[in-house]
Amino acid sequence: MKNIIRIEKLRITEKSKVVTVVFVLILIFAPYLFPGHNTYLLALSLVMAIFAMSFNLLFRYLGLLSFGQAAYFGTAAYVVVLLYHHLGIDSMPILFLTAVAVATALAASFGYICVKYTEFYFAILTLAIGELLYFLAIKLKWLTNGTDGLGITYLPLLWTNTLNTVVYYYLVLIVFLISVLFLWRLTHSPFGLIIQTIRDNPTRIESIGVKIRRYQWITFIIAGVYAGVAGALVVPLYGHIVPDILRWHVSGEAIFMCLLGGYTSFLGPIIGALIYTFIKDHLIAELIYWQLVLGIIIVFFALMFREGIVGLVRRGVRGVP
Amino acid sequence: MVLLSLEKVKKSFGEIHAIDDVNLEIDKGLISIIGPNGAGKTTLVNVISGTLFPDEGKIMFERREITKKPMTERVKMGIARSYQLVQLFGNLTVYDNIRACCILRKNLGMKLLSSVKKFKSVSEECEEICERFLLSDKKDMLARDLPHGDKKLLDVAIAYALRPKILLLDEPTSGLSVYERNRVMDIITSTVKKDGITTVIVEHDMDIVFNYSDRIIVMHEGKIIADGKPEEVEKLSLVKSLVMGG
Amino acid sequence: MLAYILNGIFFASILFLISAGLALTFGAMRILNIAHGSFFALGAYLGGTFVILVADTGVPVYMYLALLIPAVIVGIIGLGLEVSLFRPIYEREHVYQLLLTFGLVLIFEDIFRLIWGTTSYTAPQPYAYLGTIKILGFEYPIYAFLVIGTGLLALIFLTYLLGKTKTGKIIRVVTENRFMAASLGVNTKKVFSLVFLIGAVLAGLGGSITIPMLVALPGLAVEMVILAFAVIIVSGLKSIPGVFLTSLIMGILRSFGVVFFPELVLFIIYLVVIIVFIFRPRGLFG
Repeated sequence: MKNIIRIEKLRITEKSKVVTVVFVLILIFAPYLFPGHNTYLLALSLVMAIFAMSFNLLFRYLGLLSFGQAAYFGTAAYVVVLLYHHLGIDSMPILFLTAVAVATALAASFGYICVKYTEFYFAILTLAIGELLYFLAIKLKWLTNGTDGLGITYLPLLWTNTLNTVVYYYLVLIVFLISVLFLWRLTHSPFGLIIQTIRDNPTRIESIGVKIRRYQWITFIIAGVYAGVAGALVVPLYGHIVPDILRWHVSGEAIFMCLLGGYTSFLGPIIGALIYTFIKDHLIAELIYWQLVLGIIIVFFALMFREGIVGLVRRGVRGVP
Repeated sequence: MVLLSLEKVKKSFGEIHAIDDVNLEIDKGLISIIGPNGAGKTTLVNVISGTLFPDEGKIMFERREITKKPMTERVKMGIARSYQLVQLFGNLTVYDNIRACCILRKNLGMKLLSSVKKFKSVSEECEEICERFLLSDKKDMLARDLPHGDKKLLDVAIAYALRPKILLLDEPTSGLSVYERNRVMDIITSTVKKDGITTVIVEHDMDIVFNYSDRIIVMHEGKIIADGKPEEVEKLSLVKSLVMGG
Repeated sequence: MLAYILNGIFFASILFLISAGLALTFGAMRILNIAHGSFFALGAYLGGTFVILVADTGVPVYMYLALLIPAVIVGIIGLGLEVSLFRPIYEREHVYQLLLTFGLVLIFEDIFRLIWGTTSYTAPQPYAYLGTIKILGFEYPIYAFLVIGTGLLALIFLTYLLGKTKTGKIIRVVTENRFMAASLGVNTKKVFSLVFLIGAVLAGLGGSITIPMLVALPGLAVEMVILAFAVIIVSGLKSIPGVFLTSLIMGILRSFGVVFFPELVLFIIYLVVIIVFIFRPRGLFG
């Protein structure tokens, strides 16, 4: 009996490995499989996947609902455009690294305060931070150009520039794969296990000696890094950054992507980001009332359907990671 | 050497003296604490484990005073407990429930980048603990999906994973059928006796108490009214009427 | 100087109307309804619509009566939402409750956009009609006193309800410990619905009474719920008078802040929240 169970498990791990490899291969050859505008959408999807992973790290593994990941996403985006506009910097490494550094510093400072509080307070505090930054972005017109926002035309990239979607796609892909690898490692590390115990029974794990705040803070910072990376990468794709990028409905998109794809799985946020980005692109012309749809689906998920699309797939096909 | 001692310990909740002037010495074996509801049994366990601090008195563990020491320190010193209402990590597997404690005991909690599987000693320990508690075939089940008996066992296993010197179990068989109770107690006693872990159990089932204990402490209204071997305690008419309805 | 204080009391009244409702629902039901701000915004938009409808009739009184209708409508909608959406998730983990109310915020935002557009929405007629009154050398809008009056009425109503009536007592018992209340035979479902209704009505009233002096823009709902939440955190949730006093403090702070640091007003409020959080985690009156 034991042998049969072991073989079953082996098959499942083999299956997930195959699925993953196929997935990665598709991504590598994507510009040739899905050329033109679709390459752009794929690049955007991967960036949004990183943003979604930022939310899901806090939500699925720690059980913390952050309505303000857009704060770090938007901050990173703003750092890029601000440096470009006011200081004329167009070196991608400098722009991106600075953007991520600032977003991380922000996450570290706000996170330090936020993690002291339990679910409801935490949620509202994260919401408030996004709004606060939005408010600043609007008021400090001399810096941010207010509601009109700032844009970039392009940034030089290797032998070409960011308008070359294919090359930029590969840059995004590399960052994406590294991000996924790191997140996989993190969530399967001792640290990853402990934060899940914090989610499930903070009282007991604390009595065993876990400093909950510290673990939460570190996770919050890492989530901030991911949001920042996504925010920096999104600038050449969006072209123009407005204060709205800091607001709750952008955070809501990250939440939605995770719910859609299924927040209980590792791939869920990624699949959700892919589906969402493509649907949004094709429907946005016809469907101006986007928040309405988003809201309804979030309500639906909150009420009923926790496992998302990957969950559906999982029920039919075992072995999806 | 006396492992744990309580001197003149008192704990009140408002007007109620939950524990009233308790003096106790615990060394080896399996000790049961019995008594009617409200006798102070759980409060006693709480005060020893560090969930609560006493109002008066002294608690010594291995000759060090621990009266006001926080629970996390007591865990490090070797005092671990299980709970009457099981406290598990519901969304994690049985294996991970135990693994989390092993990781913490070895201070590996802050390893962010190494795969948790890399730590062979942790894996070996987890396998061993799962086997001891007869949970091996369920080790990939989520804790919240376990049958009640196994949940109680897992709760104890988590405490055991901390390799304590003294194990405090708060009603480890509550809510179980008679057959299950014996099964759980057999597993627990074989483990603790094998390792020589002093075990203090709060229990209501008199059959369990008299079959498994080396020593029985009877509490009533916050005081200890009897303390000794099962054969001795059984004979006291006071105990009979109070606890066994005889 | 007096003008600033009056302004402060004016803001405080608005804050109180929205915070009291949130304090009630959060306190009694332990559910944080992020969409509470949407009730306020809905009240504002509806109030504006009714005023505009009625303004042409030429009977001034109708304008003021019109401002009362939204409170009722918002209350009904709120109750409907509570029964259909909130009830199923009371026993579930808080994250689902938060997600649900967050989804509602998004839905409401687009409904507002759909019906009332994205540009600023105002209905100044009731405000303009009453004119100003001269106090100690400066002109102050009479309508502001109407708002302040509404806030005070709400305070009196709530204090009386919670303090002197049997219903209020039941609400307080449920707030203290709803499991005990249930075991004592209290129909907690009905209490929850009632509390939610009161909260929604107050928020809707706050919105509609304010619209003559307020500009409604997209995002008003979120802005208001965050402010309401700030008030609750600082006040500590233990009493309605506490919420009122906190609203007063915040209102006056904001009023002075707008004069001296117009760009940083929100900052100041958040700063106060953070400071109180750090030094008195239970709130000023908790």
